[in-house]
Amino acid sequence: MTFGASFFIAARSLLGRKRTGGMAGAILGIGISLVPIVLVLIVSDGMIEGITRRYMETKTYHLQVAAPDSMAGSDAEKGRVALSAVPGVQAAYIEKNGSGVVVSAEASNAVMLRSVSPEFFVDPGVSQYLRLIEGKARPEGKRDIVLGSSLASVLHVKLGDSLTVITPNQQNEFTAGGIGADFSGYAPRLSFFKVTGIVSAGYRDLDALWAFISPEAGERLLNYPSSYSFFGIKVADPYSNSLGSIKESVSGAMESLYPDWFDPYLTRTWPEVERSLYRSFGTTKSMLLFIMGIALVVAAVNLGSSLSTFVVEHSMDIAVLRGMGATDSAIRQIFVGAGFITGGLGTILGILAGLILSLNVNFLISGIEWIANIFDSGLAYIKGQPSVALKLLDPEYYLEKIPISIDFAQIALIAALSIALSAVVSLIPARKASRISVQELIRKS
Amino acid sequence: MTKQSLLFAAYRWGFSGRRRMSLSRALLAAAGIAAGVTALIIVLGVMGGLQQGYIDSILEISSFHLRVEMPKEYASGSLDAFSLAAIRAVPGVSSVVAFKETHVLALGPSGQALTLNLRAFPRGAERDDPSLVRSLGLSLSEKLPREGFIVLGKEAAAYLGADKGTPIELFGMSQSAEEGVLPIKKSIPIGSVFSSGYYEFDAAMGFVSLEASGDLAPFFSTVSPVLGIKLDNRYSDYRIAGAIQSLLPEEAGKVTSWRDYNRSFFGALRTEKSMMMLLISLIFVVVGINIFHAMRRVIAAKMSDIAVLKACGATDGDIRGIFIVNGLSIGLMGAVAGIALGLLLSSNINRILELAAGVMRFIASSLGSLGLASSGGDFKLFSPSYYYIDAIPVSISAAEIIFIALTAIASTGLAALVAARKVSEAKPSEVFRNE
Amino acid sequence: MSDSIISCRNLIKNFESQAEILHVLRGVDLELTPGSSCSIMGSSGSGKSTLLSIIGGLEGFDSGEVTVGSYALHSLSEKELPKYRSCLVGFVFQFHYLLKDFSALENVALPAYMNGVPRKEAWARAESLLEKVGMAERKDHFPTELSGGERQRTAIARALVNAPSVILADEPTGNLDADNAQAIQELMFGLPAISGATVILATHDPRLAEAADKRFFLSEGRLQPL
Repeated sequence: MTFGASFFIAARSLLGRKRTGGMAGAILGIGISLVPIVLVLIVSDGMIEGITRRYMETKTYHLQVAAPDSMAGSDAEKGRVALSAVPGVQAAYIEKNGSGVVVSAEASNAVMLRSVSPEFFVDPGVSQYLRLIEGKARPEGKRDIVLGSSLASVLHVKLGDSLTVITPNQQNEFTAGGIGADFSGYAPRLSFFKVTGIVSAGYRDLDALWAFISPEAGERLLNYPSSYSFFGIKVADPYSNSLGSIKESVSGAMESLYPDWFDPYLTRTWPEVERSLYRSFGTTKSMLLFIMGIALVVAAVNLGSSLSTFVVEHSMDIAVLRGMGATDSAIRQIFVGAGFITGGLGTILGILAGLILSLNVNFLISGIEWIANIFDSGLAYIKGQPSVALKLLDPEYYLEKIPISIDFAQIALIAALSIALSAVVSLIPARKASRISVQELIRKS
Repeated sequence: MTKQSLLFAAYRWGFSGRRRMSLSRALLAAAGIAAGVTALIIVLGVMGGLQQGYIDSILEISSFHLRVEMPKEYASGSLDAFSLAAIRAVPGVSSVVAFKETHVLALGPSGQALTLNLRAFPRGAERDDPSLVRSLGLSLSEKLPREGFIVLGKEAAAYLGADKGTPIELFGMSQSAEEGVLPIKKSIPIGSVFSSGYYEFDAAMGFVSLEASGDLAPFFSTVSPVLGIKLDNRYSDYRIAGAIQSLLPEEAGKVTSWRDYNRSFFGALRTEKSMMMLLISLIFVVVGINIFHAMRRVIAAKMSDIAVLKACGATDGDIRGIFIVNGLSIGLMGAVAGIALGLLLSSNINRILELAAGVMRFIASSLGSLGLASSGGDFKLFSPSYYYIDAIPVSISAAEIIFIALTAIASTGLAALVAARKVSEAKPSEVFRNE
Repeated sequence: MSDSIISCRNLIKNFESQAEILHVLRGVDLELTPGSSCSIMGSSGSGKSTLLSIIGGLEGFDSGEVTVGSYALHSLSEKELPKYRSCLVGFVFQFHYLLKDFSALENVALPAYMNGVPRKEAWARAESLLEKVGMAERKDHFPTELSGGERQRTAIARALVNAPSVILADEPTGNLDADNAQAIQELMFGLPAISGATVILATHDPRLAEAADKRFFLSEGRLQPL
């Protein structure tokens, strides 16, 4: 029997009857099991992309070149301009950052001071992800400081309040032997600032400790061993393959500009900078998908058993086919084909449903939040406890809105896997079917 | 129809039927349920374990069960102005500690500057709050605080390039009416190094003595004291909070429970668990649909048998009961098997994860050699630098297990219930007439 | 009459199909005393099965009175019918309607077991009944392993297990060969003596019908005594 003929028979027997030959349940099963897989895939991709984008646009840049602390402002500016001219580079900035302690009237906290080139604040990526909440995003004067929103709330400060920042200040020359055991080289420096702006990157883990200060202030404060100076580079497409070659061009430019201290290892791409973060995202996503995959396996086994029942119920038909001259392998083909079709239908259904749910996931989440909050307020009222609005995706730990990112390649892969699994699982009932002999059937009835 | 006869029929029709089909179909369904239950138990157990350990540490080290921020006026005054003893005497309270916390910069031999959350505890805090000491991984014989020393976290010490006995430098600021704002620095040796197992604490916390004469006091000059209260049962927080509030002076801050202090964190944890539970429970839906269809088929095939039973005096409800019992038994079998397997795997989770990591590594490298995936090199399922734990703790409550089991059994029962509605289609008179 | 075990008065039953209304029973009257046997003859479709179904509580009717023992069927609700069926009536059909998944012994015991009879007693009753119908050696076999005659005998034993007052038989010998039919016929008409039940037999076989105490013919929806 030709492949086409067996396919025709399989399709007809499955779909030609009043009901889908009883395989409706199996189709639904596969479909349902795919929904969480698709959902998890799209949502986690979206979250990861959203978080990653924020990191690379507002913190790590697309490329970084570490620079020595001792580099003077004018020297660095020369380098920045030269880097901007490197092919593939859209913009280059200078940043110095270092940790310190910030003290307000009511509280104190750790702080990551960031002194960036003024152009940073009009960088397209930064403008997209750094949201201005109050005041001005860019600290202009040497006493201006712009805080991240969570830092501002921890310190209980608002626009116009005063802050004191504590940083280590090097008093003596940096001796060749390093810091003396009595740290006589360092003393605490107090600097006074006024809050001129409050911003947010939309993800707490990222901006929890940020405070932007002007390059002037940075020059003064950020020159101790644990402060970090670097060039931050933005390219057109940070995900493209050309990132590697741009990295090389940058290294080349730096080599010619600063032959005395530059070394290629000082240039890093954004994945290299936040390696462990991205690694953990990848692991989390793989694990989630693996767990959701169990549902698919159960659905596939279900399909196999439904197909077995199908074989038994249609043994008479199979005997007839044999009488018409069908070979063993032809019968097998039919049933593997049936499994293929069933799995295919279920896969299409499931992926469609998953896609629809994912595209509306933000809407769904607000809906669930709304319902959950009703229950929660009711419960709290009964228990006499204060009830606070429940947020499913608390912006402190997740992004507030999930950006949707659909990678069709991955979805196609899952579809292929699901269909392949269905076909494989059909092999057993297919073999059973091919074993049915006409004589047995006649004897039985 | 009596219950016994119903069960007799249910058992016969469900499992030991003459055709082996029904038994294997039923077992397969039960296996599907078991898979779902096992997955749920392992996932919730691991999530619970990870969360629980972290929550416990937060409660012991950072937020306590109840916290009270005292007003500024008490900053320089003696803390015995109100009686700590009275609070300690409230039933349900296991310890009260009055401490101060601020942020300072620390410098060590490495020259790297580190921000520290500096906490000053009164002498003998290790006696007052032993669970805090334990959570820090210190032995109870160690003093916390050690007068004249700082007790520092492992990661912080490493970053500063210091160890037990090495002095480090603390930078801070003091504020007073006479002298205004002044920078202050103080050198202090490390007395002990603690390891709580969580990066957040080990890299950023230091404990000093509150009474240390004069030297460290300027660091805390503008800081108001905090009362950290531990309870025998963390869930009696709201109840006891009221009792304590009444013992405090009016200007004292509100008694905050750990649940409100960490509200968004716990909310996030609970949400994560609920979402996972929801997604994995879809396995039960898949199996339920299978059971539904299989049962409908069985009922259709047994229409005449059902009619006979009805003629003999069974009601619709009786026959439906037969199939529902069938469905529930499948759910029960699956749940029991799943719980057993789930608990077994959970307790050996670390060995299994190593195995899984090995398998993934194999797959990744073979995919890499096929050019399908970039060989990621070192693949560890739980990257130690990020998760900072060696072994995975598993913690699942009996309530959760019961909930999972009930969900599983309910889904199969529900499937059977809906399928069994078909039973009313068997009318004895029609069936007999059609013969 | 007070000593009637079964009493039908002006029983009317109609069937409504899409096109028309079929008046199947147009006023059936019947009085039977306990321990008697009666046969109802009629061509296929005359309504014999329907009449039996109604007396057996398997179907409702449109008007009239039907009283079996102390049960007034015309005033029983849908819910009360199963109880009536289980206690009072035993059925024997043309097709055996034995449950395929249970052995002969279990098939016979089941109606009693379902009715609340303790397991041991139900099984004991079943065994003795099977003996009476000559099925003692085959009691543990399943219906698919029994011959036609054996199945029918099992069905008769089942009909008796709850000591019914009425036994309704609808073409009990229809599927059997001559020898088996003869045996069943003897068994059926011996039932009133064994169990004290009243037997109503519907058939279109005149030889079978003749053995009954009272004979009727159902035509035009009414019973004519023969």
